[in-house]
Amino acid sequence: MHVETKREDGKPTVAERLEPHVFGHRTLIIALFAVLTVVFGVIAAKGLRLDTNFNKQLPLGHEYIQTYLDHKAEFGGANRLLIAIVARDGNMFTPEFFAALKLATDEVFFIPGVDRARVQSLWTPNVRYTEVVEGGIEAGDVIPPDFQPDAEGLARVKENILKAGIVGRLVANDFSGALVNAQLLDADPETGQPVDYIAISTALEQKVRERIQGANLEVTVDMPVSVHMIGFAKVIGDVADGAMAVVIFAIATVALTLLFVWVYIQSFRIALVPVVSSLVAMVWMLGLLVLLGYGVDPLGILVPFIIFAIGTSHGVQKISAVKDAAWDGADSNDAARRTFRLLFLPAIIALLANLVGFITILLIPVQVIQEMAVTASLGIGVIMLTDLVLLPVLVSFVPITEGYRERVRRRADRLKRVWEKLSAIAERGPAAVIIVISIALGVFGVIKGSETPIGDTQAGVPELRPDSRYNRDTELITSKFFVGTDILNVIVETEENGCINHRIIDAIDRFAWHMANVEGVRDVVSLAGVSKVVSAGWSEGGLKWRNLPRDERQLVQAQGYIETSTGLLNRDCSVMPVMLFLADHRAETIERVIAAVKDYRSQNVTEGVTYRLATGNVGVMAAQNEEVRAKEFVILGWVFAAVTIMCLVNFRSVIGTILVIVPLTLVSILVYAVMAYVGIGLKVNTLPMVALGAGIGVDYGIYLFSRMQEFLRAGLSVREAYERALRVTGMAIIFTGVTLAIGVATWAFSPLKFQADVGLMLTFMFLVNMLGAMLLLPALGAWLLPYSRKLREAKPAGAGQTG
Amino acid sequence: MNYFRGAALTVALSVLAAVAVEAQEDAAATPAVMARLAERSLLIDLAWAGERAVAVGERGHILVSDDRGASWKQVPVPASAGLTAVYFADPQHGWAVGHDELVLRTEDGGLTWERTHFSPDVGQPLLDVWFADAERGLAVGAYGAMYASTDGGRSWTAATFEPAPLGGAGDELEEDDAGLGFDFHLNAIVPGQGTTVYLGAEAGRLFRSDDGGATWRELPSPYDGSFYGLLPLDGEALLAFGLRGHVFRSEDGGQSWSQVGTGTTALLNSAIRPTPDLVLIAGLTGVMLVSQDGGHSFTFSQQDDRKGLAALLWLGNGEVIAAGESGVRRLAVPGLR
Repeated sequence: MHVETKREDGKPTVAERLEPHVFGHRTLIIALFAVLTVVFGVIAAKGLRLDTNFNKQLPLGHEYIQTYLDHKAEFGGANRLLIAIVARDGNMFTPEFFAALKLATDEVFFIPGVDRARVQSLWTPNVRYTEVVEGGIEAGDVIPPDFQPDAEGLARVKENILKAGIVGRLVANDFSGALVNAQLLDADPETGQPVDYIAISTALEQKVRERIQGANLEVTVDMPVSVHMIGFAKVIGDVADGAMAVVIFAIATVALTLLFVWVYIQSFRIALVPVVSSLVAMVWMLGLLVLLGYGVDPLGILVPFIIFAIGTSHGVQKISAVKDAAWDGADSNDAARRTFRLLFLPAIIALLANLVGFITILLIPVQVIQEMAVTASLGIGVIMLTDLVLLPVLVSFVPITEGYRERVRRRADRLKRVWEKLSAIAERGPAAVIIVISIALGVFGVIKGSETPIGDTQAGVPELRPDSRYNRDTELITSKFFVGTDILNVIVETEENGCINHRIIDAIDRFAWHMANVEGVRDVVSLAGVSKVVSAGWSEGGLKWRNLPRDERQLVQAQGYIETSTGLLNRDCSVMPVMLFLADHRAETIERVIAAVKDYRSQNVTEGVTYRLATGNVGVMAAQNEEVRAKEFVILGWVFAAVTIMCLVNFRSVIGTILVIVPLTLVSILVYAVMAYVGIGLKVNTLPMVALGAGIGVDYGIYLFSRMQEFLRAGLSVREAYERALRVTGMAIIFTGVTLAIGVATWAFSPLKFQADVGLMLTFMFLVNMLGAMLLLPALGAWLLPYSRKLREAKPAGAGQTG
Repeated sequence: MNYFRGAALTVALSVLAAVAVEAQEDAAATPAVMARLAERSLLIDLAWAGERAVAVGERGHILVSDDRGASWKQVPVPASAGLTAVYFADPQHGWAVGHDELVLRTEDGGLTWERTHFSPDVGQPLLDVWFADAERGLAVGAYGAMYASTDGGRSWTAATFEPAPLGGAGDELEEDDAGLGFDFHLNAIVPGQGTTVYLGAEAGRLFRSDDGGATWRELPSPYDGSFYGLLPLDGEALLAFGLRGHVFRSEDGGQSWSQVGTGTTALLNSAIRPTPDLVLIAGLTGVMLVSQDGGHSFTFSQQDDRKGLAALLWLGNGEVIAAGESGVRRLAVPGLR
């Protein structure tokens, strides 16, 4: 029971010509694959590293990112570290607290990659208080050199904290804790190497958290103080920790896949073949990754899984053909050869469809995503080798016993009745029901799916789960201190010494106030605002003097003590960022604030003043969101166009193409609804998955309809053709869906939220696409196929024969 | 030909001139922006216009409340320079002064304001304003600036502030080298009994006028630091306060002083006396000094948010309206309820 494609002119096909070469050198081929696998394995094991380059996440070429790159040298990234020491009983004025804060300050100071000059805490000499006294200003260290942690000394420090005006910045609003604020350099000044964020994160854990909190990393009641740390380096560290959990998922995935394939194919030894082939593909891909100089980033770490899943799913198609051949009585060598010939072309076409899905992702101009597309495409290339060559060769070595043939026959008999019943949906009546349900689902999907937000849907770092320690630390720090973690910097470019030009600094001040009033902006910090306070300081601190002086000399005086390390001005005072601290980074908030900036700058033109969007973490998010919004339909358009063309070429039938594309479209719509329902935003991480899911999801339709088409050409009715196709490939399609889904479903347990999100989305797409192909395709066929002239006129003695 | 050319040139020049004028027009002359957060902005002075509370502050913000401070409404102001003081002579007539020598007047209890004086070129602030009645008033400010009006604030003339020196003619007031007269900031102008008016100034200077502000004489000062306010009590009794938590009391109209302990070094901005015994002084870092014995002794208290308090209005029942760094709000006076 097999169908072979033969060229009408009788010339041998590519597969036929390759067959003797491949099967003539079976041992050599296996040896070659084995050697290469070992080589790639060693390369991967030695060279694979987690890639944490911040710049790779930026959508290069976007207006906002250009601003960031233009001013990176002077203002750095948003690469801050905040370490909060919090007194458990709410009172920081204890000897224990100050000892812990000192230890944290000292340790942070010595971590390689930390900009030592910019480390700030109560214990650093750059934190000073100034005090207006009769006839001048008096200044001193907040913690005086002769500090003794007794009642008197602590009372004095408290007084100095108030004078220094650092409550909310370095000291908690309620005096329950204090911060160590550090900036990270791009490169280690001693070695010149890029700063290793993971090492910094580890150092923070071991040298600060562990030493202060003890080995028990969870906060317990009897601890006098607790440690809370946030910042980009910490995110990377935590994400890296979480990403390593995929090793466990990898093992679980392989084991589960093997189990399911075994159940399906009814032979453990045959089941081993596609799993081994896919593992080989995975190893090669990882090796190639290293050779290309790529690292694995926390998102890209999922690609090997997808490659494994795709490899296995195609492998399942292969071994099911072997099973068919075995049922026909072929021995393993014959069965393998027949499979090789039979599935060579369809497999290439299906893999090309996958490839298109990956390649469209290149349209997102974010380096990590593009690298992911490249590595995934390479993976598809490797699968072509392993599934088309290695797998048939391997399977030819597995002996097929009479007992196995018997088991296969028994199940086929049992399933026959199931397929008979199921094939009823290819009758017009039941088909109409399925079509109506599908339309209803489609309408629901469009309505619910339109709610899918662009960008992030929740507060905290989206990569990590809301209840992760990092996000809990973020919540604590933002509640106790008046510092946000969601910062959008508008870079105001002016002329040299622009900051002492009243007209310019006043314009900046007005802009800052306008932005402060925008909903979602929690606080605004600008040189203008700080200058006012300093200016008042020069006039005894009186509130009536909290104003921008018109006199240039007074402005110079007001700004003389504001250092470039504050990030509020550059060296020649021509560029002044206005820092907007946002309440959160939900897409809605970001859009509102960005729109407000654009509105303002178009309506308030000040000569020589340019408001440029945008840096800070929210600037990057805004750029990513805009990129996703711009590329969303372009990418999906290309995926569907490519899949459509491939179907047209393959089936040479418009109706056949419609039968495959409509269920695929429905599932793509429904995945939006699922995202809206679960609260997954469409962003740089998830958009590729929608494209990818469509690219892979089309396989089922292609496999099913190409079989149906052959039977239709043989003159069978739609229902009969569907039933025959089910008998041949029904189980294979179901198990392909299940195998693909297993490969990604395990991610749902990932400690990283975006891995879990992506896992959920892909699982949904793989399973529901399978259902779409199995149910909606024949239902549509029942109504549409009779209109296909080509098939109606097809002669029974067409392209195929049934066995 | 020539005619047309000339006309075209004139038109071109006038267009250029118009553009130039527009470009040069000072931003502070633009109306105050109506802002959602105006009531949370820096508000520096408060006054009652009858039953209506009026608050003024940065960026030309003026807010009014007709429900005793429960809710506030920003009113339009034809300038956006920072305002430093507000004064009402009666429920309708009021004046506000501020930076760039901005003076505003209202005739409808603070709902609409008219700009009557504004010199961004001078660039210095007026710091306080006082009116004897609806017609005659004084505005004082930085570097000894004093302006007088006799037409309800519609027009202002610069008055030379030349107080009689302390202890007779022989003791000359400190003048700067250019001989431009008194050069210290006049921080506060406060009416006393009858036609008596007091001035608190920078560097420990205190002045008194007994003729409604026409002539001034310097008072002996107990302190070198600046005075930010004065509070006349019964008869000739008087409080003066200012820098670093200093409060002084005089029983003889300012001739002799004794220091009152406060327990704070915060700058003290303003004071009110709701009842003969109750005196409240507001200061930076959320300081509020409370006296329940007519200003003989004070209890120290501080707001949790440490935000500076600039001005107070008494509401009764132990409550005040407070203006300052965190805007305007109602506060319970610590220790009164």
